Amino acid sequence: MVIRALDLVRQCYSQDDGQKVFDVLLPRLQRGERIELSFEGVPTVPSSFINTALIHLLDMLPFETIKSNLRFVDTTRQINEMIRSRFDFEVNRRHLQPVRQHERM
Amino acid sequence: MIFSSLLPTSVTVPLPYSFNAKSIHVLLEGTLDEHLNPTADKVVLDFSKLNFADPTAITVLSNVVEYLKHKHGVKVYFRNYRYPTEGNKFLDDSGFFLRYVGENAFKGAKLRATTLPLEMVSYDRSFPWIHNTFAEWIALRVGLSTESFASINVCLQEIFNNISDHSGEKIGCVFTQHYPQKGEVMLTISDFGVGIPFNVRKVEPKISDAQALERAVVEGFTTKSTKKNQGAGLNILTKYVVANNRGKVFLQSLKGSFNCIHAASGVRMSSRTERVTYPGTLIQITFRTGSLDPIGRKEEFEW
Repeated sequence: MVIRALDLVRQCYSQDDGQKVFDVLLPRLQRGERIELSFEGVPTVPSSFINTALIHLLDMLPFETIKSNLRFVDTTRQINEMIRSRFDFEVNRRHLQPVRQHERM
Repeated sequence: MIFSSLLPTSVTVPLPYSFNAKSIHVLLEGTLDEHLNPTADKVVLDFSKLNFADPTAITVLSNVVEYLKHKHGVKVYFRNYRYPTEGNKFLDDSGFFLRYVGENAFKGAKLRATTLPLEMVSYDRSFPWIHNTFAEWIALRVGLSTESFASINVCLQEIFNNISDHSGEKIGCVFTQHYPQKGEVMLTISDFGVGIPFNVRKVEPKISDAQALERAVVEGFTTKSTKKNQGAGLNILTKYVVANNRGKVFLQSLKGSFNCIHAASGVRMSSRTERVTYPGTLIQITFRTGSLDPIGRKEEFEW
């Protein structure tokens, strides 16, 4: 299913904004649903939003589950870089499988 | 009240001839002691020698006036601000005297096209300020789309999130100046919150203010001021402004300052201990309008 971020929050900016998105994503991902999170109409996203909405999922779900069931659409290069770099750093920090391990091999 | 009664009734602080990041100490030494208490009940700022002021000077001046008035109830007066120096004219054109005295100092004072005037931006208003006020102004100045400034916009989002999440305050004082000849924009934001080193010392108690600023810009370093804080905000400034844009970042908070520049060898960071304490945090970013990374463009996501 497609979830449009701006249907949940006015802007993708603060930790509070991120929490609202997280609260919608988590139960669906825990049920094994496949989700496309749309950033249609979102100009930029800071780390606070990504940390709360997405990185916090790593406390609840294996990274592989997140990676296989969560996709991002209607994104910009800035949004993509922020998502990838935050996951890359946090997955490495948590001693889990690196995000782009296959690229390094 | 006992401390208050021991304060001198009045102190006059002459502003420096050239007022920029290097001469902030003149204002701070005159108005505040090392514990950030005011030096007097009444502070008179003397503008007679102010021949030059840059964006940082205006932001710092405003931040200190707000700090004295609202944190300590100090009465702040301006003297000789009608002296026709270039510094006073720049302050006047920037709306500084209009804000604090209630009227312009000079006849014909007018906002310069290269200036986005001094503004107190509350966190609630920061998102539209970044994406409408700032981005539309600079896009029009440079002749690019607002999307071209995505990397700078996200840095501003990081700064305002830091103010809101960590400083104990909800307002940032902002001033922006475009230098078309140099192809640069200098933007300064300040708050008079608890300061970055104060928060860093919650997890590393023995660290100096200068060392605390170095730690704060390392990706992943977090003071856990909020439950889900992961420590990435200041690091993004050094990445987008310095590494990608080859601009500059300068921070001053309490007694520490931090410089990040792009040199031939790559990104260079340095910190130092200042002789005076800054009330809160000052962030100055200088970015080049000719080498903006087009990260606002649409792109398909891949893990």
